[in-house]
Amino acid sequence: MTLRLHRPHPIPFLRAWLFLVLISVFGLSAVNATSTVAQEGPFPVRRGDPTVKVYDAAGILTKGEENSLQSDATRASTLGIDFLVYTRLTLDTPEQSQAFADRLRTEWKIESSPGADDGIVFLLAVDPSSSHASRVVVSVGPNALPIRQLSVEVFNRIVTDEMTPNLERGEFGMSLYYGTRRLLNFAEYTPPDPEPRTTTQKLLGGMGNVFAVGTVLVAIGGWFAAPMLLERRQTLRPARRTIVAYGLAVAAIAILTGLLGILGRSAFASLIALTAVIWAGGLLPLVAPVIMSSDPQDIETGGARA
Amino acid sequence: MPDFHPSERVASPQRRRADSLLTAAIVIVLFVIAFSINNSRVESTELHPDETRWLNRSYYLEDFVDPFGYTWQDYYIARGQPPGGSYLMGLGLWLQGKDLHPNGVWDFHYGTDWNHMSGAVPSDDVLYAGRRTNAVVGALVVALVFLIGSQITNRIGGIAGALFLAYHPLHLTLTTQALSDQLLALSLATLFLACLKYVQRPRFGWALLMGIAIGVGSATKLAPMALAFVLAGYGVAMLAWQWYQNDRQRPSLAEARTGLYLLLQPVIAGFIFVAMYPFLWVDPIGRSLALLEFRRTEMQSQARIWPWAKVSNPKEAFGRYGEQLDALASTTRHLQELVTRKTPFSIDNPQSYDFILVGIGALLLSRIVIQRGVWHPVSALAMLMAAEVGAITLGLGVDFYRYYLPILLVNSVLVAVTIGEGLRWAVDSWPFRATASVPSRSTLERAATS
Repeated sequence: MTLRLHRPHPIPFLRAWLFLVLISVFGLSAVNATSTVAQEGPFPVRRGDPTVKVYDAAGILTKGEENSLQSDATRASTLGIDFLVYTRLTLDTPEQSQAFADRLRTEWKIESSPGADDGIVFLLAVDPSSSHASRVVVSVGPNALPIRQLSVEVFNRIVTDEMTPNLERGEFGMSLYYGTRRLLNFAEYTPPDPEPRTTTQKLLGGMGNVFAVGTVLVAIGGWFAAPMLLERRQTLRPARRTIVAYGLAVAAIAILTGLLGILGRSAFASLIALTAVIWAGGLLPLVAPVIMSSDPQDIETGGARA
Repeated sequence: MPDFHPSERVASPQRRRADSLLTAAIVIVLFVIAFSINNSRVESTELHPDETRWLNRSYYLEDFVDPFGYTWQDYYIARGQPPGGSYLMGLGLWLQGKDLHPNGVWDFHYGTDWNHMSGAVPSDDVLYAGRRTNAVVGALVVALVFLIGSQITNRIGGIAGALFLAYHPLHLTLTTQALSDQLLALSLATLFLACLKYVQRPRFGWALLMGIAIGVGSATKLAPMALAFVLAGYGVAMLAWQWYQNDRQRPSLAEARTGLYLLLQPVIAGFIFVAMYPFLWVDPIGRSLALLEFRRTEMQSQARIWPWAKVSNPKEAFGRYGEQLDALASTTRHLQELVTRKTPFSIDNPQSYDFILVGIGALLLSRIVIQRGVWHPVSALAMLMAAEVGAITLGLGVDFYRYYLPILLVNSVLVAVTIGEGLRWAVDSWPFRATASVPSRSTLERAATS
């Protein structure tokens, strides 16, 4: 998978031009590049240590920025993410830069494990001849995204709204920080998607919903029905024994509903069950002394009427 | 076992009503004073990065209705902290008309600058709204300390304990930061008061309130759950004593009720804890154990990152109490500094006398426990406070100032005992005692001997 990215507006390239002067004078090259203006030529060969994840071929990053990005890459690896940061001076078109980034990702085997094809390459393609043409290029393996709540769309927005504006201001390190650190933030601090419910869970959840409706009916209707069943009279002030029976019935069906709701991942069933348990186990014992019948006959007989 | 019924048999209904009104008035005044002090500092207290985390999780409040949704999946944020403080922040922000998604997650791998730039810091109005929420909670804690102190000794002692807490620099800092520690203190203070009331008059309502307080406290910081088992153990001991006293016959249900309701504490507290934390619903025991392990490794990690804060053993932890709650932060020294700043009087070289007051209070409380026996309400409270201090001492892995707030709460109660009992001794010794307004006996003592 590749990401098409927005071409930035012209930006100051003081550091890039300075490096251009330096390599022209001293003939320095970070990788196997033959051009002293742009790093064209053979495709770069990866240095021996595979844990090195930052290649500042363009020489536009400070040592501190390199170290910080390397720390980010190390942290990412502990989260099962493999990414590479690469900067280069180039006259390539956007398509060529994208192809370069893709090739880096595949040939340098940027992935969390062999065959995973889930690596990410952040490429800053700096055009020394035209600041207008510099760009952020990202190559993402087909299995890389989503990472938790980091989708392709969100990643695109990070590149467009955060990495690119910093590149425009000449803040190369900051541009890369927004890429790597947002990635890490999503990987560590956003939740994974809930597992899709299995068929059994859907069935149990459905049953839980039915029982939840039953719980509500028992909780509300039971208050009126219980005296009629147990005391053979209609009253809003039942005897203690009736209240206890009512409370136990509500609690029992609520617990069953709750179990079904949790096993079936049904929010409705779970929350109804929770409410019913709080009512039956907590509030009812508190209000019962106030609302229950104070008729001595009821207290003596538990509400049983001849 | 006596029913420590406060003063119902000795006071007329009119006297009881007047007492209640006076107590309510003092509670309101103390709350207003404490809230005013707290609220005046909301904008001046320095930002602590943890505040951004609690405010970030304000959305927990609205996501409670989706218990199997994204928020409650198994990942770092859901495991990192129980949700109590987040609910409080969400409630506070909602009541003050703020968005429940105010900021991103502060990343402790990076410095303040990066976290500011990346949107991890809330705007000032959101930050102050969160802090104002805690200012209310902190003021409630002050009011509860008064109620606890006045139950143990007298209202003067209660007021002294409340003001001791209200003016303590640690309390002032924590009550004006959007953290969860004040909610923990509120839970503990509620538990202490409910325990006093329960042992005085064993009713289901007080037992339920104890369990709820422990559950809410555990859903804020895991530690209070241990107190549920302390209470259950107390209940077992009580039942065993009743069985022994009853010539080894099983006591009646009415007699055993006090102990039986205490045995229910782990059940009630556990239910509340799990109910408040949807992350646990799919596997309450497994995920709870995972939480404990997570906290343990986090504390070890913090000790590695900040080696100066590492606490190696309980003895060292106990030693740090003197440093944090007396040397570095002291009410008595703070008050002397206030006097120097705000009045024409000047106190050179202000000293801390906090631990003297606390130490005397501990001795006096021990005396009450010895005199009244282990089944007295004050003894039950003393047991709970000792258990809380013990749990913190044993579990303290890093010396972060906010971990000492429960200790400060206990200290405030002890200061209430010192002042209240000291004043009572002075009144008892006064030759014109009949005209004094301070009761010669505490509320509980009058009830015990009536």
